[in-house]
Amino acid sequence: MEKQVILEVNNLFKSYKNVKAVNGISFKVYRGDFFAFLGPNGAGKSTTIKILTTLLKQDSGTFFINGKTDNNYIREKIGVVFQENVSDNLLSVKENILTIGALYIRDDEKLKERYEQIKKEFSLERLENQKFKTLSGGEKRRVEIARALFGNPEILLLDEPTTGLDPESRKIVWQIINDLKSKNDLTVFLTTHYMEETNDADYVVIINHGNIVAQGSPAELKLAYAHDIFKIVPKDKDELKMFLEENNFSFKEVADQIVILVEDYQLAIKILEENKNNIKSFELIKGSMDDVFVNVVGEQII
Amino acid sequence: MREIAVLTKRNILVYLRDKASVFFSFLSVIILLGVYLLFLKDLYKIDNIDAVSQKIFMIAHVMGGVLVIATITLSLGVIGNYVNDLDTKKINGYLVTPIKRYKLTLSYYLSTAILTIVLTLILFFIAFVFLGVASGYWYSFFSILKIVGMLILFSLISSSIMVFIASFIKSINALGGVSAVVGTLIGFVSGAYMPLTMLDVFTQTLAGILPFSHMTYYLRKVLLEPVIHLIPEQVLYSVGVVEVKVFGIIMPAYVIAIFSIALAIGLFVLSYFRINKKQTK
Repeated sequence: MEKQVILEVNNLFKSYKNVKAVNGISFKVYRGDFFAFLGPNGAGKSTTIKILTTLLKQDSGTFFINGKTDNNYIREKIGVVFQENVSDNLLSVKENILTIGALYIRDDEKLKERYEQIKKEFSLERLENQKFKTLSGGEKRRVEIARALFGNPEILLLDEPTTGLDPESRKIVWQIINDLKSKNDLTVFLTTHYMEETNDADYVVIINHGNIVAQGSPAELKLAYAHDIFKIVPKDKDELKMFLEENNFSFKEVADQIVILVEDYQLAIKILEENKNNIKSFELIKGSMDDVFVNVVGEQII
Repeated sequence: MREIAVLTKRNILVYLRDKASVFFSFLSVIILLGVYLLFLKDLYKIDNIDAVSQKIFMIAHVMGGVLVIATITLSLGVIGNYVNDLDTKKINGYLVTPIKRYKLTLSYYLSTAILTIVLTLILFFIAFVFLGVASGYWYSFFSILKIVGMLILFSLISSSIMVFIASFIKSINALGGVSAVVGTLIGFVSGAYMPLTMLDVFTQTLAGILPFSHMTYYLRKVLLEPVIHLIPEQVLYSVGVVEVKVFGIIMPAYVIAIFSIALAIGLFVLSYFRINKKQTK
């Protein structure tokens, strides 16, 4: 079955005075996909998210959700989890969620019903009467996601949702997002600083200086921009080096190891086969999205 | 309408649960009471007048200044919600929902006006009971109606002006600074801190243009009704219970009322557009 486009961005431009924050970017997001939008600080990521969430007007270009550009329609179809928590610290979890909920659902009974549903889905029973400020980092994010999903959006936009969280809370947040994706066929649009979070993405767009500099599935991007690293501890270093030089492999010596860049694991197997009598031990490290990012953008993400 | 009510309730709860915010909104009122009790008590010592009337004169006069200042500092305190939402980007959480921008804007104004009215009326009630217990004089039902009506109108006017001022402010730190300056300035030009008659011509002219001094005068006139006929003109002048001239002319009350209401409506409309514009960049 052909995938349906839920979000389409065409030639989007936005400048602040003389700085081009977003310089004519275009991409598509398909329904049910997990879409990752990456870029270093100042790349134009936040500006794009602000435009897509109707917080900022673009200078030119268009974007559609389900083929529509009307802001009111878009606001009904999106749920947004911001980098900073937007719930009120001094209100309870229930008060926070119901305040937002009432902006989506007018009928009191239906509002109550939806609240009970959300409470159960996000296991908020124990927290509902607690003030937001008393929650842990992970619990706060859980409430923020619950709040963003109250209106049953078709696309959930997460703007660096795990920044500043401890590893355990990050894990919890990702569990929630993965559950939502599998249960609700929700489209997830993510911006993040943590490259490993994009490993499960269906499609990744990398933006830098307002331009899209790479895009594709994580596998495609790794193939194009990240090499596997093959580490060998040889019996005879010189013999292995000679072999690698003759076959034009790029490598370096690190202590008793030879570290070789290989494009894929097949090449590692070839090296192993040809040198099987000269190997004490070996290790193959897969190319990561971090490598993709560094190679594409030319700098570390953080 | 329902969305406006929900958001207004949210703004009210957020303000009331922040005890520091509430305390600082009342701080000017507390300082003013302190200043009167510690330094200005002697102003109210009048010869040939009984002790009870003297007490009524003092409490009612102080009450007038305190209540007008309360409408200003309370509205500035409550509209801090809006500036805080902007500063912490909490407002974005609402802007991405289907709610119309004007409803969000109205909710900030309504919560400011409602809280200012309610808290000012509570202050009046406390002062009313205090005066009654201390002097044995209780305002008549008709006087209470008049005072409550005036306080509601003054709260609405102050709210409009303070919301307009807040529409220029983007951070909560800036609001703190502006509150201190505006609060103090208005304290003087309203005649609440000290009688206008003791101030220079420029301040008196400025006071005449702004509605606050007129508010103080008319409220004090009503509050002092039971004893005003006993107080010599000279004393009334020295404590500032005299009509405030607008560019040297004494205007009838209805002209001042119309001008003040028009100013409040004008500023409300301007702030409405300013805040709406800020929400749709």
